Amino acid sequence: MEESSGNPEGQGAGAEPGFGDIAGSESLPDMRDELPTFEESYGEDPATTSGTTGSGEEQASSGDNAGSNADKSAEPGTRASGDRGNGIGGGIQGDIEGDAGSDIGGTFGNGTLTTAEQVAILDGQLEQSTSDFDAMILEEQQHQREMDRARAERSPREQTEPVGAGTSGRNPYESDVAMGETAGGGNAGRNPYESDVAMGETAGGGSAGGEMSGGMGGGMGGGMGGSAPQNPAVYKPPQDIPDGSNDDVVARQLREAAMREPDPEVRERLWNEYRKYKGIEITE
Amino acid sequence: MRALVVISVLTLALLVTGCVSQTVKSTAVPPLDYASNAISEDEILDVGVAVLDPGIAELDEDDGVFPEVRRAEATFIANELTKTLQEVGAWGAVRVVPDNQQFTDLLLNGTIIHSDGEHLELAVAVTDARGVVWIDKTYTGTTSRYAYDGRNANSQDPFLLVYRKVANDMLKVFESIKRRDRLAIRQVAELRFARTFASDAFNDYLTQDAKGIYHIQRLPADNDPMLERVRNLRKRNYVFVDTLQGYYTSFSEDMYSPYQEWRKLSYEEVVALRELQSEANTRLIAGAAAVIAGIAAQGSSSEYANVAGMVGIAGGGYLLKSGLEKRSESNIHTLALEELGQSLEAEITPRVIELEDRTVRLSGNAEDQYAQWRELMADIYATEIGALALPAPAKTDNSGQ
Repeated sequence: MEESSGNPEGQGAGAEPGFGDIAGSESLPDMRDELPTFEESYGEDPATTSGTTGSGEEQASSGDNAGSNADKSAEPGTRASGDRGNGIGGGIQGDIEGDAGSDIGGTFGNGTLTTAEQVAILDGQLEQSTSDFDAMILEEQQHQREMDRARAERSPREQTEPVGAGTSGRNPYESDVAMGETAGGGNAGRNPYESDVAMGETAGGGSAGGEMSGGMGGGMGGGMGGSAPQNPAVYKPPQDIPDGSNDDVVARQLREAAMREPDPEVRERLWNEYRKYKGIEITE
Repeated sequence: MRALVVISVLTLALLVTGCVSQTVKSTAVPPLDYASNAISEDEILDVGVAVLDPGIAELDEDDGVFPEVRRAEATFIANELTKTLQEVGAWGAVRVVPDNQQFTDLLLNGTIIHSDGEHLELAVAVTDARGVVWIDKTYTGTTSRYAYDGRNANSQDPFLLVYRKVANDMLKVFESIKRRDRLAIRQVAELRFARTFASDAFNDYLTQDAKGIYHIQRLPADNDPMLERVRNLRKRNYVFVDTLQGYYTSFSEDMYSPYQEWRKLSYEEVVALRELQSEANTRLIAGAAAVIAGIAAQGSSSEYANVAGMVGIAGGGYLLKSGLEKRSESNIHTLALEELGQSLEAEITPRVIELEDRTVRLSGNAEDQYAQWRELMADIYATEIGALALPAPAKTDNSGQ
C-alpha cells in the first residue's frame, strides 16, 4: 500500500516534469492513507471487552500481550493489529494470542470495519464467553465426578457395617452410588444403573436434551465420548489431527479457533499450537 | 320407658368402644401408561420438573413438619417424578430444574401438601411453553406397611402410585393434543428462550393474550444467524441443566437411605398414633355418655334403672379413665415422631445446605454468563441491522485540507 502511495525517493528527486515548483513543494498535504486505529473505527477497546468477558489471569495476560504489541510499534496499523488480535483471539490462551493476534489483526485492522467484520468480532467474543461457560461447567462436572468417587470409596466401608434385617445385599453395580450411612431400610434392588444413567445423561443420551448435550458433553466431558461442539466449523482439520474426542478445554478452544480461522497461515499456526499442546509431531 | 332409654344408651356406649375403624390400604401401583403410537421426533417434548414447593410457608410448629426435611423432600420427590416420567419413554429430556423460570416445553410445578410415611398429598400443575395448563390437580396416595418391607422397600418408592398417576395424566393430555400443537409448543419454547437472550431480535415473533397464552406471530428462517446463535446458547443451557441434574440425582440417592428409614418408622408411629387417638376419642365420648346416662338413671324410680345407672357411671368412669390413658399413650408416639423428624433433619440438613450452595452458586455463575450473552447478542443484532451508531469519522492529519 505504501508503494502505491508514493515513493520517498521520488520526492527527494525533485520536480516531476510538467508540475513545476509545486511538484516538489513540502507544503502539499500528505496524500498517503492513514489507517484508523481500532478505537477510532470501532469506538471501543476490545482488549477491555475481552478482559471483561475473559476468565481471569489468562485473559489478563493476553491483554498484556496485545498491549505490548501495541506499545512496541509506532504505526497506527500495527497498533490496531495488536488490539484486534486480542479481540478475536481472546479465546486462545498463552502465547498464541500474542503471536496469532497480530496476524489476525492484520487481516481486520486495515481500514474501517465492515458490518460483517464487526459481527465476526462480536461472534468471537460470544464464542469466548461460551468457552468460559464450558470451562465452568467442566469444572462442575469434574467436581461431581470427584464427589462420586469419594462416595464410592466411602460406601464399601459402610457396607461392612452391620445392616438392618431385610437388606438383601446391595447390587455390586451400585457400589458407586453410595446410598448413605444408615442401611437399615436397605437399598438393594433399586435401579442398579442409576448413577451410570445420571452420568450418561449428562454426557449425552437419546432425546432432545441428550442430543444437545451430546456435542457439548462430549467435548467437555473429556473422554466421555462425543464430538466437537456443533458450532459450524468452516475449515476441516488437517489429516494428522485426531478427531478431538479426548480434547480438554484448552485443546478444544484451539481446535475451534483453528477450524474457524479463515486465514490459512494463521490457521496453520493455530493447528501447530494444537499439535504442540497435544504432543503431535509438527511436520513442516 | 325412661329406664329403657338409659339402658339403651349405656349399651350403645359400651358397643361403640368395641368398634374398630379400618382404613384399606394397598401397595398396588397403577401400571405406567406408554405412548400408544410412535411419536415423531419433532413432536417430542422436553419436560422440566421444578423442585417442589415444600409447602412450609403457612405451617405451624404444631404441625410436626420439619422444614429441612420438607426441603429435602421437595427435591427428592421432584427427582422421583423425573425418573417416572423418563420411564414413560414418550418425553424428551426430563430434568429437575431449580425453579419455574425455565423455558422447557413442559414445566411441572408442585407443592407438598402433606407427606409422612403413610400419606403423600401433592398439588401438581403442568403447563406447556405456550402457557396452556395441562393439569392442575391434587394427587394423594396412601401406602401400606408392606411398602417398607422386604422386596417392596427396595424395588419401588412407597408413593410410586402418586408419581405414576401424574405421569399417566400427562401422557393422556399429550396424546389428546394434535401434532400442530405439539410443534407449536416447541416453537414457542424456543422463541421464548430466544427472547430472553435477544429480545430486540425476537420480540415480535410472539404475542401474549389476556390469559397469558403465547401465540406465534411469525417464525424466523431456519438459517437465521441470530436463531443459530440462540440455538447454540440453548445447548449450553441444556448442559447447565444436565449438570444441575447431577447434583439433584446425587442428593436424592444420598438421602434415600435415611429418608426411607424415617418414612418406615414414621409410618409405624403415624398409624399407631392415629389408632390410639381414635380409640382414646371413642372411649372418652362413650365414657362421658355412659356417665351422663348413669346419672340420669339414678333419678329413676325403677330399681333396675338405678342399678343400670350405677353400672353406667362406673363403666363410664372406667372408659373415661382408659380414654385419657390412651391419649397420653398417643403422646408418646407424637414425641417419637418428633424425635424421628429431628433425627432425620439433623442428618439431612448439611446435605440440603450443600445442595443449595452448589446449585445457587452454579446458577449464579451461569446467570452472569447469560448476562454477557444477552449484551453481546444485543450488540450483534444492532450491528447486523445497522442500528449501531456509526463511529465518528477518523481524525487525520489532512483534515485541515
